[in-house]
Amino acid sequence: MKVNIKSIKNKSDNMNILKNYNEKELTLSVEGRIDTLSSNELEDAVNAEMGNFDSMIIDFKDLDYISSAGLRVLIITQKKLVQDNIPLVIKNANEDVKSVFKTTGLNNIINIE
Amino acid sequence: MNRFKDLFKSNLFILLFSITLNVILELLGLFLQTEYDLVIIVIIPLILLWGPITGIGFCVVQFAAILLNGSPDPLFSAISVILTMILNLLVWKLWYSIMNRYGCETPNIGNLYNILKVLIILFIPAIFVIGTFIGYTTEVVQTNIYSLMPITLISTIFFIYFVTRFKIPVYTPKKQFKQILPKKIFSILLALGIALCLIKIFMPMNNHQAVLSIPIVCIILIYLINPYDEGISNIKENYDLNLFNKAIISIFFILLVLTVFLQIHNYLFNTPINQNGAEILISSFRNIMTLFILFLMPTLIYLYILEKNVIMPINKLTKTMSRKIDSREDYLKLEKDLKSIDTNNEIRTLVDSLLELEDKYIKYGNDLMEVSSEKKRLETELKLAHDIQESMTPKDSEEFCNRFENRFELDSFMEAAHEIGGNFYDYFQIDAENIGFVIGDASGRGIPASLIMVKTITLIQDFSRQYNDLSKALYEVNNVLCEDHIEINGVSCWLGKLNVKTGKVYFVNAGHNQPLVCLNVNGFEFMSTEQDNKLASVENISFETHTMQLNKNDEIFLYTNGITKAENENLEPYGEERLRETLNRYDNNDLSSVIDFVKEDLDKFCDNDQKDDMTMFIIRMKGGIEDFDNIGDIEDVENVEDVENVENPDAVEVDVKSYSAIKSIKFNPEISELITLNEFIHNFVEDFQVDLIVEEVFANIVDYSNCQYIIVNAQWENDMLTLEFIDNGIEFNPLLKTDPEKPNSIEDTPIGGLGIVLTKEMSDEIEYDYVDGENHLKIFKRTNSL
Repeated sequence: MKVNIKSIKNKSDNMNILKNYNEKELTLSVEGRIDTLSSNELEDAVNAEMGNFDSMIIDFKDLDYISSAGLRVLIITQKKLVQDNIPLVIKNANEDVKSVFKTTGLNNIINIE
Repeated sequence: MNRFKDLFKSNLFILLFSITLNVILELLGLFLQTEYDLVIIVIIPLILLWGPITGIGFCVVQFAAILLNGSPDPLFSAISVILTMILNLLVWKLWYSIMNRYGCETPNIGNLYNILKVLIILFIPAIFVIGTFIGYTTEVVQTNIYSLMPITLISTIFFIYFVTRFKIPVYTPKKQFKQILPKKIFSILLALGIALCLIKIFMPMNNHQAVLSIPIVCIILIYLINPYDEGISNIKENYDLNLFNKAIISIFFILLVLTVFLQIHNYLFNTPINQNGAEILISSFRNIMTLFILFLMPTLIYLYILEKNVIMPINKLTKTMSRKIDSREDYLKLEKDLKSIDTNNEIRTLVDSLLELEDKYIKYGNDLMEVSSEKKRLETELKLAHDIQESMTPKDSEEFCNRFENRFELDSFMEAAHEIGGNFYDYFQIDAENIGFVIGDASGRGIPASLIMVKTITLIQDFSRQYNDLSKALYEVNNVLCEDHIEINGVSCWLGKLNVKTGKVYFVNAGHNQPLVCLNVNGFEFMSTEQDNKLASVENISFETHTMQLNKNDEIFLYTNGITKAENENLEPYGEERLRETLNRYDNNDLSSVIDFVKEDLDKFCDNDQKDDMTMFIIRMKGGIEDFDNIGDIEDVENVEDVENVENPDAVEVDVKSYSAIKSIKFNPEISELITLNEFIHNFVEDFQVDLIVEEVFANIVDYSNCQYIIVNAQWENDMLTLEFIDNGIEFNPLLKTDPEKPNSIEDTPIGGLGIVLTKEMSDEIEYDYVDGENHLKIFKRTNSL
């Protein structure tokens, strides 16, 4: 008798941040999910590096998911960086993530490549 | 006793009996040295009961006595003996000729009328004897007759009583005489004879009076050929020993004692004999009359009242009640007859009670007829229902299998404990490749169960064709069954869908007995998938579809608990294990006799009456599996037990679609619960936008509503996911919140508020309601992923 059972791992609460400096240019690679639970971690990571860079790239190549909590972190960061004239670029976001920026109109105020 | 009674049918025996009694009394007379001729005491009753033959006996003994004693005038003595005999014959003749008010019966004392009859037929001959002999012979004869008359009456009564008591046959007239003279002439002659006798007795005319004897004897001789007015064939035998018989015999017993006492008194004080006829008559009559007036007459009057008021009504009642009462008409006739019974005492009450009883009897009789006809009607209807129910289950499995190129074969059996039952099985075509087969058991038996069964089987067919997913189909069936709110204890059912090309089976087990499966000819084993709830018990419950793979020669055996719960005389159930062993013992390849084999074993196990409905169903894959390359998978999941042990919430049965039912989960208002919520939602669907909606709404409620709990209901149906968030926090309608303007510069951008925007944008439709202190937010999201 055959009954197919496959276990599916829950992918949430899995967020990983990689920091990479190229001289004064900081690249944050965020993997996994940025949701209400993990957004604080991202905020802390950004705050920790504040003042150490003159250019910031956030790489969403391996980001699966972002919610409004993640957007909030990005908006706060952008607000701070605008005052210091530090450019922020978001790279490699997938279609789902891009659609979130588009829906909220953030694509107009944050540089998304 | 019977042999003794039969003796009285023989004339010779009667003659000898008569002679014996005569001799005994002659000897008694000699012994007592009395001048009375005691023979009269027995000859009168003997003649009354056994007729002329006993008269011959009397003559024989008398002649012998004359010869032995010697007589001054033998000829005269002989003639007087014969004359006496002839005169006494009147007793017998009169009994059957006069006073036949109650019909002509054999001598009996069953009523007062017959007592009077006995008195009269004894006194008439006595008067004739005296009338004939007075003036010829010594007065001894007359004295004899008068003195012995009371004791003769008593002895006659006793004789009649004994004949009745022991049912001894009597001698009835055998020959009817021709009616030579009109009936009235005989009566007149009899009256004339009595008159002549009285003249002779009371008016002594010396020698001339002797002449009158000749007409008297002539009259008697003529009267003896008087035809019996009832005819000899109408003489009824009456040996009924009733209450009256017993009363009379006790009275006469007392009379006997008194008479004996009186006779002894006479004997001792030796009344002078030489008186003339009239004086003797008067003196003797004085004794008799004293007895009668003082004792017999009041008794007879009392008896008359008793007879009229008690015995006669009761006899009539008995006779009336013995009639057959079949209809209302019979009853009315009976009522009329009973009402006519002339009595005003307790018998009336009895009669009335009997009437009432009879009335009830008729009524109950009618009721009973109605009930039994009603029962018959029900039986007929049940028979029809049985036929209808039988016609609802498919019969022609061969044709059905042919339709699918004989890729499988199946066999089935169903037997209800009563005419109709609550078990059901069915197999039906769903589409070109799929067949459905189902077995089930509506709890209970008989008519209610069968009606539920009919409804269930119809719904299952309908919904199985309508919905691709069996769990969805059963979900709908269950809800329809629950709608009726009838008190039933659920319907168990096992519903399967077989793809005849691939051999893949989808199935749902709604609280039914675990079927037996035989895979790879390894013998039958029980399935161990989890059972869902029975149908028709709780609304909106979900069912799980499981799958399995059938290859060539794999079999599924379905049954109901009527099989496994069948008990033998020791109340041991047949049991699952025995069923499995029996199936495995069957080594023939012929599928059509598997069920017979099981049934045979079951019958052998319990030879008592079938208590519950029994159903069996077996299906076997025959081929066509080659197209389906799945052999590797089968080896992966061979052990059925694995399935049951999966309790890890992270594990989700991929092949199992549980989408149809509404599932519900409750949370504390903590953001960390989001992980669990995500898992819950991923049971239905994994979709970016769905995740986003769920998170935004949940986080919003947790942050702002100040509630105690959050309930999330989810349902996936026709590519539409419905999510409902319920919380008891402050009222908040997100639909009323105006969307913020899209920002132009980072300085203008608000930090929050994006969650609601996202939710609205991602959802297909949102409904909000505030009910009973709860926010109800319903979100519809079309998704075709997964």
